[in-house]
Amino acid sequence: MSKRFIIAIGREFGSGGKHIGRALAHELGVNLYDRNIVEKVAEELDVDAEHLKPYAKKKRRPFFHKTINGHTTSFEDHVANHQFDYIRKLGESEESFVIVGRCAEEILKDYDGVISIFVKGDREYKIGRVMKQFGLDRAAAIEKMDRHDRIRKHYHDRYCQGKWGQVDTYDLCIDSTHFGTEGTAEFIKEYVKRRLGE
Amino acid sequence: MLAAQIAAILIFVVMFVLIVMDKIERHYVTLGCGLLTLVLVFGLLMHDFGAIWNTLALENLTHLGFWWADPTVAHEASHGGIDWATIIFLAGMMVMVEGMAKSGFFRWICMLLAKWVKYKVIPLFIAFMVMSAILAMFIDSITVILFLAAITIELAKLLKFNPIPMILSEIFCANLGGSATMCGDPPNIIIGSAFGFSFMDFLLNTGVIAGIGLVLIVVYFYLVNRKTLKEASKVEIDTSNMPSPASAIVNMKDFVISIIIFLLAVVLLITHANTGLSVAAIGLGIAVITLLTAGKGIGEILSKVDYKTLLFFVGLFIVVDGLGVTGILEIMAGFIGQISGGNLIVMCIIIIWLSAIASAFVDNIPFAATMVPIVASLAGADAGMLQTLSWSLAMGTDIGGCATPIGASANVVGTSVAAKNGYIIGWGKYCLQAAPATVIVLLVSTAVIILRYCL
Repeated sequence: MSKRFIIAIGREFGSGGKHIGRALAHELGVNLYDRNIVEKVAEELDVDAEHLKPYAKKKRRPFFHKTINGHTTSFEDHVANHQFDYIRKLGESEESFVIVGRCAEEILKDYDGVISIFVKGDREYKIGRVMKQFGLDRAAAIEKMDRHDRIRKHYHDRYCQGKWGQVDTYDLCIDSTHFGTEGTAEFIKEYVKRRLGE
Repeated sequence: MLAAQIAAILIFVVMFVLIVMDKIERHYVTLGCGLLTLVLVFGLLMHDFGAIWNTLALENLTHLGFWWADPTVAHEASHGGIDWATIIFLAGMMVMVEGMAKSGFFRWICMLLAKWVKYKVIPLFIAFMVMSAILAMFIDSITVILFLAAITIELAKLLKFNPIPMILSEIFCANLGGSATMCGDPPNIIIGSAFGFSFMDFLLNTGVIAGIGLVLIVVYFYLVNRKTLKEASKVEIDTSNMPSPASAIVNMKDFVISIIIFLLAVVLLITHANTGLSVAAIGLGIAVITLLTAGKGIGEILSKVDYKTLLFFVGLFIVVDGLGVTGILEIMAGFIGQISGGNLIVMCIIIIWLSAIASAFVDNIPFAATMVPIVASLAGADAGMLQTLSWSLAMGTDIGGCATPIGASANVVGTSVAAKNGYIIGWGKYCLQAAPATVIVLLVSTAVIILRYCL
């Protein structure tokens, strides 16, 4: 595509959002940013990424933190802010890319060419995908799915004004149940093309 | 009175819980709870509008004795309410420190020390610990750690060593150094200002304990980290390209002025028992001189003053006074007196260790503010006992805060500076080194206080 674009994807656990992001990045020939941002941050800081990973997208524990004059003992906040700074740098660059999670739709909202998307799925569809992907029984899959969605919502809403998974927060909300991950990626690609007038 | 007592306790507990939860900025918490104390406890439940006026303590500012007291006459303890002397002194010191920071003083002194020890890791480790303690005797520990931790990380990257052990030891020493003087740590200012102790009173009492503690703590941190330090010392580094101390000085004129003002503050503090100048007068004077000599930089200095902490103190003093006026603190003092059976040694042990344990998990400032009237009540008219219990309270609150990452402001700022640079110091890593060190200094404090004042 000739114009610069950024596709920021939020997603429910099990909806296939990450696979959709990967397929989109592959189809459009651009980089995909998701978990690898922590590694990029660690590289920039010249520290071991393994020290930062446990605090990435983790729920902040109450009673164990203190904030004084903007200085905080919450490493979850520090790692989140490092990631947001990195995402802003990507926003400043000319690069087109796909980014999954990390509050990207809000962090990048002031940059040109940002298209924010939320991928949801039918509950049974998601349970089936999680059971298959992680080799879990139904109960464990439900527990995993609900836990991850709780953490994602908590993380997102802590740092963003827009609410996680609510229609007002995104340009497009789509249910991946009907088209599957490949079909949904294809649909989003067409949407992006039309948004960019191509 | 019972309803007022219950309301005062509830407000106090809610304030503590909200501070610990860290969801709302702490100055909003104390100011909100302070307002509630004035309106609900004093106004609606006690119908005592005089108590509101006394708690606000604005009248104190108009008394000559607030600014200057005849050094030949014994000082009277303050009578609760907002401790404006503490607040004005802190504000003055904040202005002075901002002026020093703006001129590049802190970066210069760190770089100078690093150069003196020829950028060798082990001497640097020890020198920065000692410097942290000495600077924190006169300057708030937040500022000390803010600069020291940042420069430690910068040097660690250049000299290829892990900065975490050094930052942990610097944090501990900043708290330890702060315990040595009246202006080193907010609990000491509260205690000193409430009971009329001088800078030298602290230096000759808590200062001696802190000095013994510092020797032991330097040895302790060296032994705990010796393997890491020795490995780091083996790395050959070309030190010819290290940033020079002179490069840290932003403006030579401002730099010289800031050093003169700092030395003046130190002299005034050391001699205030002789000159009769109160800490409030010293704080105000130093702030005025800093601002007058700042030229166009006045706005920048004033904008960087930590107003939130000052407001936090205002609200805190009101809430604690709510407990005092309703007689709760008297009851608590009676309880401690009963448990100890009037035995001074037991009282000291209770105060040191209770203060330390509480300060490790909750803010040591509200705890100290609460304990000051309790100590006054326990000591009654016995001046010797008042001093002994005051040193116990100072050491307990100052050192107890070292044990966990959230116990004292320096810990929060130090671990935060490290995390901003990608060095994560979790609770486990922090407590593993700091908690035993805390116990060592608390044991020293207990032993010295008992041997020196109780036997």
